[in-house]
Amino acid sequence: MSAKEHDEHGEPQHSPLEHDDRGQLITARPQRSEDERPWPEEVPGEDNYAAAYAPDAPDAGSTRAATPEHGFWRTMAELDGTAKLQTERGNNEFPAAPEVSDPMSRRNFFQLMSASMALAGVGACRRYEKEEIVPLARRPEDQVPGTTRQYATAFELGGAGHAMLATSYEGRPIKLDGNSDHEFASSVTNGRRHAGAHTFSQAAILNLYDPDRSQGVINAKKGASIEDFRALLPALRGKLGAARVLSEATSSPTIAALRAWLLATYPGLAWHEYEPLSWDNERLGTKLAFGRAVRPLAKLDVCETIVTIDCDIFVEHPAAMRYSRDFAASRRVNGSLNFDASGHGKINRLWSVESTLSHTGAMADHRLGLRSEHGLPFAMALGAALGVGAPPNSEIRNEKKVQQFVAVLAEELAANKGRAVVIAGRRQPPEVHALVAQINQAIDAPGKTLEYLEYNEGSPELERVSHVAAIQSLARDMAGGKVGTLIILGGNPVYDAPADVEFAAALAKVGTSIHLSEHQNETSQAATWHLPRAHFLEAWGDARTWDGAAVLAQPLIAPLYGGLSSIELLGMLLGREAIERQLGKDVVARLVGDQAGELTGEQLVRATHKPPTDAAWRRNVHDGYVPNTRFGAAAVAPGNVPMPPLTPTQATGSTIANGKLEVVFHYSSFAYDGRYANNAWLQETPDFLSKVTWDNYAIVGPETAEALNVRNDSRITVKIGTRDVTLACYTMPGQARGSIALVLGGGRKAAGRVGNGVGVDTYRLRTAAGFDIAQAASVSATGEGYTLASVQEHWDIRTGIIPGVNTEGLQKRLPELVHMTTNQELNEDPTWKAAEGPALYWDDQNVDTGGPKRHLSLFREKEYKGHRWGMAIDLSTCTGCNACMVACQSENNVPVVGRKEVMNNREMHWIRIDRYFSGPPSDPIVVHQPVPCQQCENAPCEQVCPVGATVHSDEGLNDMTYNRCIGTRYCANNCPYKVRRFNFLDWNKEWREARNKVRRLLFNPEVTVRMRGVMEKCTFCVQRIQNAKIHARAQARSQHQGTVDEPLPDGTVRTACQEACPTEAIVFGDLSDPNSQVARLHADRRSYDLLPELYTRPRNKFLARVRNPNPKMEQGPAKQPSAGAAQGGHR
Amino acid sequence: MSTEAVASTNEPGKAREAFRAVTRDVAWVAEAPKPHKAWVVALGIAVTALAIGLYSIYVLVTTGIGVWGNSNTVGWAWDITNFVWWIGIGHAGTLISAVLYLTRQTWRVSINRAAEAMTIFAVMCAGLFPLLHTGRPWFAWWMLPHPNDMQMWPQFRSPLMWDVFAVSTYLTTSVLFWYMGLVPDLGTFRDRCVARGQKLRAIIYGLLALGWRGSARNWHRYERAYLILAGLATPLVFSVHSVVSFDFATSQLPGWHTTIFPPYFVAGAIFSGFAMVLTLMLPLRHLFNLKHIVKEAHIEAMCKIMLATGMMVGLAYGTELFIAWYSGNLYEKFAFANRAFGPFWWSYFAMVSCNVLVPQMFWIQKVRRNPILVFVLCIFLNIGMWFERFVIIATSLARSFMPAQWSYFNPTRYDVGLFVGTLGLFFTLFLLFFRYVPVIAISEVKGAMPEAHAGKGGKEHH
Repeated sequence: MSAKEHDEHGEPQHSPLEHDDRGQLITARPQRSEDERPWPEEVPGEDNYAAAYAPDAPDAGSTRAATPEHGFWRTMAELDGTAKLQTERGNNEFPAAPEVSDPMSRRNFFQLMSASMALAGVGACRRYEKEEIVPLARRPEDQVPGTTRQYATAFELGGAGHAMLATSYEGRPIKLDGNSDHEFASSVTNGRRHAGAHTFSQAAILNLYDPDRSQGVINAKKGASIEDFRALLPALRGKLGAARVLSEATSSPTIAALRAWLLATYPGLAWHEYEPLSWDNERLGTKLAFGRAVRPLAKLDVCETIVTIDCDIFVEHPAAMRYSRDFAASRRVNGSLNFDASGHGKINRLWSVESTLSHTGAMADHRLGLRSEHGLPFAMALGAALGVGAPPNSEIRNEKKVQQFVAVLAEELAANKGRAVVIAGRRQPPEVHALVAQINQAIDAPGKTLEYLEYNEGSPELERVSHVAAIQSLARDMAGGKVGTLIILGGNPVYDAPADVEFAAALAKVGTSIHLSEHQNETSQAATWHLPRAHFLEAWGDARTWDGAAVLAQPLIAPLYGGLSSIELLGMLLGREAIERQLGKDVVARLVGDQAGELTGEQLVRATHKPPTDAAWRRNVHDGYVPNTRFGAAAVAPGNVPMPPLTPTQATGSTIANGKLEVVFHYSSFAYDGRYANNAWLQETPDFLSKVTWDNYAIVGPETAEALNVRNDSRITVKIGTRDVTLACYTMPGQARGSIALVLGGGRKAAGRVGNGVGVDTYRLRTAAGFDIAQAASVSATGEGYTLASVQEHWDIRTGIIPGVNTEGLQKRLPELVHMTTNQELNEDPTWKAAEGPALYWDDQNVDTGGPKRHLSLFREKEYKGHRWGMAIDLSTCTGCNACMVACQSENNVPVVGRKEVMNNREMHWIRIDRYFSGPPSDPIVVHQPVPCQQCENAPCEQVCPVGATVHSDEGLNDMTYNRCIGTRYCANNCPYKVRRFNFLDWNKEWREARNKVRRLLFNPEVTVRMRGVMEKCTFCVQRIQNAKIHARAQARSQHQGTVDEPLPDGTVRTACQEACPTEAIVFGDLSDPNSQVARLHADRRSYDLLPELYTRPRNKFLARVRNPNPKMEQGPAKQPSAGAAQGGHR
Repeated sequence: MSTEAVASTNEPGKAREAFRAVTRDVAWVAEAPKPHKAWVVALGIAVTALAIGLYSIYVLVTTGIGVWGNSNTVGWAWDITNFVWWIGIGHAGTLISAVLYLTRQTWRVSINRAAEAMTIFAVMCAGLFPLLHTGRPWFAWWMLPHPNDMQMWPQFRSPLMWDVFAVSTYLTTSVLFWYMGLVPDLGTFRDRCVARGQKLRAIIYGLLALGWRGSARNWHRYERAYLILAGLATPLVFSVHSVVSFDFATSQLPGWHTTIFPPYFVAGAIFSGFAMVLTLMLPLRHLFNLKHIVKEAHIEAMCKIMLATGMMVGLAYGTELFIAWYSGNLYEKFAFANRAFGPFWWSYFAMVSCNVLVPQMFWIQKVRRNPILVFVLCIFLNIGMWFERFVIIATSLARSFMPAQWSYFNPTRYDVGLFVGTLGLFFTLFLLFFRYVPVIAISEVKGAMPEAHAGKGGKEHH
């Protein structure tokens, strides 16, 4: 038997595709497309997904009770209500979904789905190839069993690409991180490139293994096969001349090329692009200001003053990861160029004007809560103060707070010319963006703190109408019967199109509609054809990062459910002949060799990027990007743009009557625009500010809430014109007066078992006219209550007979927990220290006698000879983006518990972000603090465990031995930081169900999946530490037969949270190396221990948050969090 | 030779009749051909409660601790509350048997048997909770030091480990002590069964009586052993609850981390133990016509002890509050302010009113001599002591150092079910004990009777 035969037959059964694909993927392009892979159509019944989805299969149940049976948390009746709920829990992974769900929507949907698949005979599971187990006689080249490998890939969200690295274990991708080799996705700090990745891109890997993903072609609500669709192609091509394409926003150069070829081949075809969360306003604004669309990109790392107008630059902005890193670079106090050797220096100052408190507003040194519609008068006022345009005729300008803000800000901007930038957000109309361009010109930003990038020639972005206009015109034509054939690439317009375009009704009038989608979502169900879409880790693809650089995605795994990518579908539609006409026969011949039929995704991507050589292409795929593809700099100067007349509500001040309220639409930090509704990780990742999971809600400001007589967890009806939506209300401190923010992404009906029925569909209130900012809204309380599942405010702290006790207790301790200071104080007082630090622990009596200092301790102090692992978390640069939480969840197989268990305070996150408010509720300071296990040297948890399941390692880690743990929970009770997490129920039960088995492929094999009844907590990613040590030792041994512990250079071991953190707020390393970054941070004067008086001696230190208020602002918030709203002050 | 015979040789006539009356009055409870109706009804209720408990345990073990209301913040709630409460109840038995024996309080003889039985059953109920509150109860035996391949050993620094030893020692000693005291009476039962021709019963009681013959040597050995066991058990009365209190006192948690816990817990335990003894004995005394043995004076003495220990507990509450304020410690101060005025205020006030205010009634002699009133007040004391443990455990955990993790506790039906189940177990065992085992220490009562001291200038001193 030859080695090759071994390769074909000798794979262990559970990883059928690893070596073929991987071997090729890492170094070279695959020579065989996925379609050729001989997948068997039938697979043993046990693993069979169709069987699992059979009508009688047990229903996992995933919709929550339609109406809350229990009202506010405050009443005693609530106790009963909760008790009632609690008794029912236990059997569901997502007990958010008691069995009382609406019998119509979900259960029937799944029955229908399974029936249709059974009919179609496509239910076969395509994961495992049935084969004999024959051990490999020889290890395939480049394969080390049991090791992970990283491949470059690209993730795209809303038309912005992100360079990513996917970690693959034996052929299955298990983790996504930012690509630290990519220029835009990473930057250099301390001699090391660091990337970071936001929650959505990291959690996208869970979608790959989503058992609810679409698993087959559907035609006219019946199962079909891809062959049926192929058979339709000739007829379809005949109709393409009058067809329409509706695509989600994409930056893919290949799709742009295919689009151009398609339009060239079928001149009558029209291409529309729609995205519910769109940055079109910015593009159109530049068109207004410069005459042509360009892309502004700020350079925050060189800024001293940053102003955001209704813009969240840390999470929502397409360049958010870049902005976060750059912001941190000019904010970081130590190790920053801004500080001289004596520690004196300057950090940037962030000014934020926004309606809804965002990550950016929370980080801002000065924040002004204004309705979004006041963005225009505010920008005009600011412009006027800087000599741009006329001041607005709005009362808001006369309000003292605004006046002062504008005056001081304008003065600072004028003084910081060339070192400041203004950024406006996606909700602001194009005029504001145009005005901001003029302001930026006035403060000398372009070329210094701001770049304008030129779209490539022929880029659709140059001429495209806005997303709203596109879907409006398309829907109008559809409704008018002018559209016979519609091809929808991704997206979910039936769910997320503006309510008044009536997309669903219009779609019903289209003869042939083809929807390509990862899930059989609302649009798939309304279309005549549904095609399953390949996940980006399953197919070739490309995208552009926000600066235009092309990034490449390569498949890491064969499509689990046989999906197609958009590129493959477009290639199929065009057909080989048409592509040959466009590209040239010789080019195609060179690409495909002697292969007949359609071009593969890879060939199409490659044809787009035209690599000079095979080696160059291999290099590009390996690196994950094509070099020198960044958009070029645009030499533009803004013209004078006339401002539109102010609307009556823009002309009024901040007080506004009910009925004239403004409604803005806010992305959901867990479902984005609704597309991640079925992603349980994201559903359970709490919103940074509200800390709510598994729901969407209306955000109402404290004054507005008072005026409307609604409270937190009230159900309110928001009405605009004839449309209304009823949902729970969250009273958010800092929400602008008169502005209601509706969180999008809830109320999905066909998201999957996780996301169905979670939250309320707020798109029903979003019209084309009020797409970004809707006006004339009225709010009424329904009188009902609805409990939002919060990971933090598990209970109203203001209950009790003296309600102030808890509020006061909180406020008094907050300064002890979160240390804050100001830039001024750091500069003026060189002796300033965040904490007395170790002095507290030292016995100074020996000082006089000259004897050695010793610890004041009853314990014999442990000595550490080798590594001493430690962590430092910089509160000055943490933006609260939650990236660390998702990274940890992904790395450590952290289970999801569901809405009800979150309400029972049983969420499992190993790292959490505590958030407190201080100051007045209308103008709060947000205080936040990521809290992982503090890895105490004197760990209180260790002493109380009766069986020694949690013990100290030689390197100072507080290790958890799951199989020794009997679950007394004593350790958690004795942990002052409350970081221990107990498996109250069998959280992984669901993954043992046949239909969910695929989900288990995602588990990180390096980390034990914990059973119920055991305690768990952050381990400082001990598996990564051990791997690094083993690797170093193995290398040393191969070189000089060394057996000792090899030193690990600083940065060799990086925890998952550290790796994901875009601002490098989390630093991990070896404290025994005095030059390590973490050791230097521990020695920093900003560092402090959490609860030092307990003498737990944490290995994690926090670095005090440094704020940089402008001394001329009167309100100058305190350097320490103080009395005021505090936690749940809004309740 | 039976005890009866021994007595009769000493003082024939009147005294002999009095001794016989005691034996008869106690033994008829077990010898009545049909149990009392109230007994049957009570057993029915108790067995039902026990069944509820067994079902709760089944659900708990098969599903997980998640069926309770405990959370990541409130790691212990009803489970450990119930454990400490039951252990506290288990205190009176040994105190009455051992401490009062050593201090020659002869009034104890009318209640010590029942109190000891109560102790054993209460400790059995208590023992269920540390076992069942673990996430993986099938591995709870890892807490016992046992030889094993992996040389894994328990972690002796953990107060939970100390609990294991303290409670198991206490249970062993209590069982031995109780059984030791039973032997002469079992001999009596055996003899009476023989006399009545009940062979099977005679064999069972005979085996249990361990060949008791009532000889002088038997009595001599018995008295010696009883004294030694009393001596051994006495320190345990104080050590067990001290060790249980270490679970809290040695931790970091404000509200738990308190040095006064050991005496405070012991006082509370005696307090609740006596309350439970009275809760049990008062109805039984009435139903089974034992009023001439369990006299009002005995009840009064116990009321006085409860008054004393109740005030000790009250003093502890006051001390805690004072020290919290006096310490100036932010977290400590808050823990107690929150305890009294925060969201769990109702449990704090239930505790204070039941444990401090209610016992003040015992200053009044009329109250002490009114069995019905005493019974009602004792129920309040039992409730109050349960709340004391709940207040300490749940309120401290729910509001500890990190405000972001503050929470609340709501019990579920399984929390309640298991508690009801242990009540069922307790009463089932107690009722069975009452029906089949001499419920009053016959021989000791006789020893304390004036007739036993006739001619020696003895007078009634019970």
